[in-house]
Amino acid sequence: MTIDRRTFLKATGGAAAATLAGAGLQARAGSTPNPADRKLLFVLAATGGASIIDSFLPVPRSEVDDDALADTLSVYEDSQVAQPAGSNIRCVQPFANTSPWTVEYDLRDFVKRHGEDMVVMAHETTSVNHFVASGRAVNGAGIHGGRTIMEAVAERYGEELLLPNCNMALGGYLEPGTDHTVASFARGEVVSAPRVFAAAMDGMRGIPGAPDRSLVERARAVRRDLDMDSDFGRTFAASPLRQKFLDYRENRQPQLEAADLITKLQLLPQDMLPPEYALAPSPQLDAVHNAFPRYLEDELQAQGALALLLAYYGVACSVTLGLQTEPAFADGDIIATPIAFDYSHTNHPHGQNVMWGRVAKVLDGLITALKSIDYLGDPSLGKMWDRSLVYVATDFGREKHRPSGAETWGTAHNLNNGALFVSPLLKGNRVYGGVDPTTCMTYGFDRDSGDPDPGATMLERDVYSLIAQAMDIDFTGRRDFPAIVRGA
Amino acid sequence: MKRSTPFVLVLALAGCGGGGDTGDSKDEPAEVAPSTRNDLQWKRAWAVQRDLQNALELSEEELCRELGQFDCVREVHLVSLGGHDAIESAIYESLPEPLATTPIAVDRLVLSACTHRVDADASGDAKVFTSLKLGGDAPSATDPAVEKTIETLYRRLLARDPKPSEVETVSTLVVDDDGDAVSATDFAKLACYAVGSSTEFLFI
Repeated sequence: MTIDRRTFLKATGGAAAATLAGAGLQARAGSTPNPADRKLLFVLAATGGASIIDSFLPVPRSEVDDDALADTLSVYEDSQVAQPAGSNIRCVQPFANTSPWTVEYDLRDFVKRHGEDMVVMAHETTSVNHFVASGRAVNGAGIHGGRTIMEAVAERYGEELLLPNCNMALGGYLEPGTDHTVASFARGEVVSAPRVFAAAMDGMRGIPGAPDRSLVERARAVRRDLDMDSDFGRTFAASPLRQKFLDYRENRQPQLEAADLITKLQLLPQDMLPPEYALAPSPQLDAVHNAFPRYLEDELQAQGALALLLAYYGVACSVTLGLQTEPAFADGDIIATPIAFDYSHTNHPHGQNVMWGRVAKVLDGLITALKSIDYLGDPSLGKMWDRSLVYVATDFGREKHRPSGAETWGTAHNLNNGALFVSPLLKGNRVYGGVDPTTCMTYGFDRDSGDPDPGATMLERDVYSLIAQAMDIDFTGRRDFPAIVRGA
Repeated sequence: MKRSTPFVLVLALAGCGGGGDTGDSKDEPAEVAPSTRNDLQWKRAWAVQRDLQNALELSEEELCRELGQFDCVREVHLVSLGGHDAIESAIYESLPEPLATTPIAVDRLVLSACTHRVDADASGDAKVFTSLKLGGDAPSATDPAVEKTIETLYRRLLARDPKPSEVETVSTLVVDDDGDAVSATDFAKLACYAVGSSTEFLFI
């Protein structure tokens, strides 16, 4: 006798025993299964301490009245600061010489292309420890019961999705939140190998010599019987760990396989898929290649490529990308410093210049693609960008001072910083807050008017709240930003 | 399946040979008491890899490579199989629980390993599937070679003998859904996969 999945799950007391749909949980109040209402969150973890005053809130030297003071601050020559026509946002231009590193992207292009949707928000952090700070960058220092913003978005929009919250970052950005009431389906799915993640979508395809699917399904039914009938299975039927595994195996796995994600998420081109594996590249591979031409060689571009597909195919509504700590190379150039932005300890100006260029290049590819592609391939749902929010998360800021007159110097961690958001859900082309040219310290703003307020300080909870409000996630204690969120 | 009320306690620890049954081996096994602690440990990536390698006498290179290029455990499915990588991924500790993709990773690893072993046995000196004639159809379910093969798999993968009911269950894989005999190699692969990807292999 072979036991069907429903009977098996009921007998083993699995969490999904009540239903075979999704993760088996009842629809939660406030969740949104309708794809037309769904919003998409893309978090790019700018690992190591990406300084906002070294990217989109720079201080030109001329704004510091005192030359001697300017020599000791992290300011830029006026010629190094650009403000594209029509933009309210400045940016730092690429340095002419950052040898041995290569800046691969000009921030001016980013402002020109996406400035109308850019929000720079001055804020401070509450830790200068990488792991703690990176966690707080996405959990708002606990403002929402400890859940990460990615978990919150996944719970809000992802109940019907197969992998609503996918995370390719590292360190504290990868850590699950501490709110144990978060629905299990909203927990992050760790993706450590984006280029070959498609292989994790089917238990049997692409294995040369494996029996036909119908026979493997028979074996799965036999396995189900064995799991039920064995002394081990009977003894440990109530094990939560085993139940969780079985829940995924009996519920989620069939859905993942049926969705043909091994094809849809397949980033390898046909010439890297030998015929004996009977696999095909994603139908969207051209779009991926246009957005991320080096995704096969470059890890961050590979993450961007997978993020695009995960969102496009309605697999995920929250995807986190993350800078790696290894340097990156392109045709002999070194395009990413070791330890990402934390290379600023060794060479702050070059490290920030190179890594912000790297971040912006991948975001440019992603946002450009999102602007051009219909969500789920359905024109009636509009472009993917219409419902998207990009958040560049980072650990903390950097020290604002330098040795007098130094052209390169190292910086320590600093609580004072700002964040970058890009989204049509926000009133963009604006800096919220400001920077004191005599100290290079950023300061906050009035949440209702958006006017700068040197006496105000925004924190991680405000960053989290802003995203939550834009994503229509309500919770007790949310701090609202009518000045920033459209339609608020 | 209904749970019975008071049980006869039987020593049937996972991974130990013998179920504590007495008398005729064809009798139905005694009921087992459910664990009150349920403190199972998830057998992680490297342990799963090692156990499969040992059970099926395969090298690491032979075990599983996605597209023939990427090591399944080390490069593709490490985290979902319960491993961690401090250097490249800054994942300093293994995840406490399986991911949604964990069962798929287990399936791929085990199915790939079983397929390699069977194909190797079919083309040369058999090391594991020595009881089957791998060149033709699978024998009938009652053929002693089938029971012997199943016994071999249980001993190698689960370190115990199968119960009669388990032999009977796995034996059904000699035919397809239409009742037609499958090939002996398919039977071997399917049986290996069913036993090797069971929760008894994956949790200890």
